[in-house]
Formats: sequence, C-alpha cells, structure tokens
Amino acid sequence: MGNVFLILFLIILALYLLYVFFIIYHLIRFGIGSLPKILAFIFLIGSFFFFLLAIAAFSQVSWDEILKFISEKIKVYFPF
Amino acid sequence: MPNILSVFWTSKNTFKSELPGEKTILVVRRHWFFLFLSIFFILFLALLPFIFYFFIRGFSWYNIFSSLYWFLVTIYFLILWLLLFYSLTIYILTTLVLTNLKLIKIEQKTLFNYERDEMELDKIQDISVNISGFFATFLNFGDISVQTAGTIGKFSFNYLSQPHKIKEIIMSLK
Repeated sequence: MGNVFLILFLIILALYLLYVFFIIYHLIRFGIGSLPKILAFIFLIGSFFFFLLAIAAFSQVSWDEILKFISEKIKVYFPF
Repeated sequence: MPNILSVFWTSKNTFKSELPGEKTILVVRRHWFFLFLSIFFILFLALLPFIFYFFIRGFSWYNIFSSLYWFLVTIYFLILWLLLFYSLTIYILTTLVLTNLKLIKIEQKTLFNYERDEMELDKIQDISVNISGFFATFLNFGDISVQTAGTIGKFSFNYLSQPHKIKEIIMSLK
C-alpha cells in the first residue's frame, strides 16, 4: 500500500519540477534586465530546499501505522 | 573570458527581436502595490497550516497522523512557493520597454499567453496619463495611453508607477 503513496508522491514531485523549469525558463529567457535572473536564482534555491523538505517529510510518514488506525476505525463504525 | 555571474548585476536590458543599433532607455513595470497584494495573500495562506495545527493538536488521533499532517503541509508549501513565483513571473515579464526607436508593451497574461505591441516613436501623436483613485494618487501610479498616427491606433498600459515622468521621457525622445 505504501508503494501507491510513493508513486503518487513521485507524480506530484515530477509535476512540481516541470513547473519549476517553466518558471525559471520564462524568467531567464524572457526577463529583461538582471532582476529576473536574480529571482530565478532565488526560486531555484528555494525550490531545491522545498523539494528536499518534502522528501524528508515523506520518509517520516509511518503509512502502516496510519492504515492500521484507519482500518480499526472502519471496523468499529462498520462491523459488518 | 566573460564572467557568467555578471548576469546578476549588470545588464544591457536586451530583449527579444531587438533591432541592430537599438538601445534600451527605460524598462518599467506595474506598480509594486499590485505585486504586494498577491504576496500578502500568499503569506496569509502560508500561515494557515500553523493556525490549523493549534486546533488539531489536542485530538487523540493527532499523534498517529502528525507525520502525515506535516508531510501534507510540505506539499502545500511546494504549491505556495510555485504560486508566489508564478505571480512574480507574471509581474516581472509584464513590462513597458522604451528604446531609442520604439515603445514596446509586453503583457504576460499567463505563463503561456502573452501579448506584445510595438509602436515607433516617430508615429506617436499624443500621450495621456490617467490617475484615478485614492491608492493611485497616494502611491503615484496610473495608466498611460499612447495615440499613434498609423493603423495601430491606441495602446494603453495600466498601473505604471510615476506615469507623468514616463510620459516626459517618451516625449523627450520623440
């Protein structure tokens, strides 16, 4: 079951990275002056930080414990 | 060898489809007030998970779900980070460029939708400035409308800071 969440997480990360690329490309390719380049650099650093943070947070989630808790609750409320 | 890092502090303000001998004189964007509004809204959204945390931390199930909660918060922050820079990108790419030959209006509507109008300086007939409203008067921003002799007609650029000064610079180059 944990693999399903891993695949979902990887899809979210892939979409995120694609969008990061689009924004950086637009800022560098079409931005006029040095300000867009500075912003693109800040965005890149921040995106990398949030990317690592999301991976670290995902690794901390105990899926088995959560699924066990949910299944127990389901049994309580729907015993049949 | 040119220093690649120099793109962060020096720029000739070159742009797409620049003509040979064309020099950029002025690059202006919308007033920061419009960027501030969207940044303020995103900062408010960033506070929501922490406010929500104070309500749910007392529940018995929180200990089991806390890791999942903070994981979902990081995903939420990924989205907010993208939203913040999406707004910044739209703001930065929407520009009015004045060169020694032309006046160029670039309006970035979404990431993959932009409008670009060019107007030769010698065809400009009249420039009008419109400042209306409390914030516009107080913060000195407004709209500039440029009337031309050709078939292009009129184009306008909204929410520019110091519109009178921009008008003076354009008129001095005519």
